[in-house]
Amino acid sequence: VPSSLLPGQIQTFARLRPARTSNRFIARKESFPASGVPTGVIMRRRLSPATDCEAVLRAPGPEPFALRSMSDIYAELALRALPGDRAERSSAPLILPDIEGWSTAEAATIMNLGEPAFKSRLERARLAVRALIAGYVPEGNA
Amino acid sequence: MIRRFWQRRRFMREHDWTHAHLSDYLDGELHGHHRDRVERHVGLCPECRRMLAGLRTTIRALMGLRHHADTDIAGGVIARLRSEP
Repeated sequence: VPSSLLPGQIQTFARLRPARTSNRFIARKESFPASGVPTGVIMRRRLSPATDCEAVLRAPGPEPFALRSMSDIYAELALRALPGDRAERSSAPLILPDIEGWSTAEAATIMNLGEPAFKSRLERARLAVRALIAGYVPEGNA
Repeated sequence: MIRRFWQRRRFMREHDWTHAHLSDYLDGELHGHHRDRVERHVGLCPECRRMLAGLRTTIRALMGLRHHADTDIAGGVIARLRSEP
């Protein structure tokens, strides 16, 4: 994993061709490429949360990581790694009230949801983050 | 034995209810009887105590992000939500 890669960033490998393929579609596409479209196979992969952690810790940032607490770093990583096809959507219930300090009523209105539905999503998102950071952040007594 | 069965059943009912309301409890949205109900069960149930501690840590970590997050993170989220049909 290159150290310059930030969490959530998609690493793109362009112009990588498979040595041999039995896929006729790929073979035809390579034979007759549309103008302006780069030929070859473009592979994309999103980093896993564990890989993200390593990449972030190694990546040069605006401030040294020693100044930031570990819980902050892992919560940030967890936010980006929430399940769901739309990352912003799945983390929106968390971002608005917990990070930005909005009330649940305001956040529910902006998300076009009823308050009970919003609270349910908020709880699910919090539990997902908790599960992701459980191994890294020590949990105190209640 | 019957008594134990009912005790267990009551405990599990409280457990499920508390589990569903821990987030509201931490947000300070439970009052009076409901708040006491959560506190009473958390005092008895180690699993709920762990869960409460975990959620509290998570929320604290998320609130800590307020100082590190991009200034217009909420703006981006709202714009994205509005642009969706």
